[in-house]
Amino acid sequence: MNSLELFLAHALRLEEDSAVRYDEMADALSVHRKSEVARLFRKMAHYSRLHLAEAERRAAGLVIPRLKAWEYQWPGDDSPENAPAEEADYAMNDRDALLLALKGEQGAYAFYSGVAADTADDGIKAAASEFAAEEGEHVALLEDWLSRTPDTGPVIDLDPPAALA
Amino acid sequence: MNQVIAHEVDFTDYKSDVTPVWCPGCGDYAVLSAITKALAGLGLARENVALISGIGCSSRIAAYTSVYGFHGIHGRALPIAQGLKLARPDLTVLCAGGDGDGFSIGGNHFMHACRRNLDLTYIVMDNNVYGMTKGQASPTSAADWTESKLTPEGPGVPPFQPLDIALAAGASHVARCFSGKVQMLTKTIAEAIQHPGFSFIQVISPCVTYRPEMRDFKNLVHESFTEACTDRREARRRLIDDDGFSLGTLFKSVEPSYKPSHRNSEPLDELERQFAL
Repeated sequence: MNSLELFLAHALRLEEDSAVRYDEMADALSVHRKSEVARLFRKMAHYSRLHLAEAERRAAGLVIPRLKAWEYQWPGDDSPENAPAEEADYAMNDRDALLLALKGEQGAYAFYSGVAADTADDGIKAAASEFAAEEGEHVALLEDWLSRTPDTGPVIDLDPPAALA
Repeated sequence: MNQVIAHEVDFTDYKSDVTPVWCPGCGDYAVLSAITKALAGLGLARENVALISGIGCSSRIAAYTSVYGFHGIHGRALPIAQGLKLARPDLTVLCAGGDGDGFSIGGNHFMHACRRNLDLTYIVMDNNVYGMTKGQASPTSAADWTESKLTPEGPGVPPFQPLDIALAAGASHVARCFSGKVQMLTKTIAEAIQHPGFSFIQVISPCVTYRPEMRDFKNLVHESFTEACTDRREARRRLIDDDGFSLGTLFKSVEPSYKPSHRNSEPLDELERQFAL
């Protein structure tokens, strides 16, 4: 990351990807009539969109590079705040959903913290530190939420797949 | 020819308003994301792209994009896609489906599409199972997979080898990806679209409902096809040691495509005369 513009391009993509992923999981759970879990993911999508709006405010007036999806310098295989979709399940409960969302928020926190730690650019460091702090607040919020959410076990399926019966 | 648009687009512009009905955790969501991001990255105009699919969970994908789509019949996505490409060579044609649709019901079409080497991209979301019909063994299920009630002792036959078949039949761009590696998958799809010939991508796309053990595939995949072979024999040699989890573009070569003779079409009354009994 050698410019604030490039960093903000990553932040904008990360937050939009995250919102889309959360919405996707909310939609998927809604289709399977898991409205409580869907509501939780919808709320996470809302938080990501708030961050996206903030990144857009910071980017106002700057020339943000348009990167192709494969040109982003992510530390892993996917946009870092994307909750690991393969861990979702039609029988997941609220606690499972919170754990999944926690992984997404931890990924974003690690990304922003890593950028802040590695850069020599004061502007990038300030922005990345601020974003990391906000993601850290989300992590803490989810951890608190988790501590108040008992594990109720998987949702009972009266017609389970043969492989799971 | 892939026609590029001038204004900037976002990948969400390539998604439709139809909500997917795939199970939560399904790998096909990532494939949808990768296809739309590849199209956005290449800046292709939606009206110049068509996505043709067959039948099965993954074949629903055509409805979830905003490009032209054709949700075909079981196993026949490739004939439709090839017909479209021959009739409208100016379009960017994508074809998508699952392992049952592509390798069993449509297995014959797969081989001959590879032979014709028309300029289109075929993406198979391979989940090793017939998910839509609740979990029967598919052509790529292991011989000893015993979790289906229809094959309690396993299918008993070795799984279909998509990359071997594609190579042997003449596909000119052959790759394998994993749905959990979205950035790599996106790049591979973009390269396949740009490749002037038949591009085949096997995407390992876990069905977490009927094959929950596939969640662990993310720990088994490895990026071993680091550089595409341009020599078909060398690509075959690389497959000898393939464990089914090697990722990357295995083979890429610009080779001749099937070109039909373009004779003038007959007038309608002449066609009617020929079909008269």
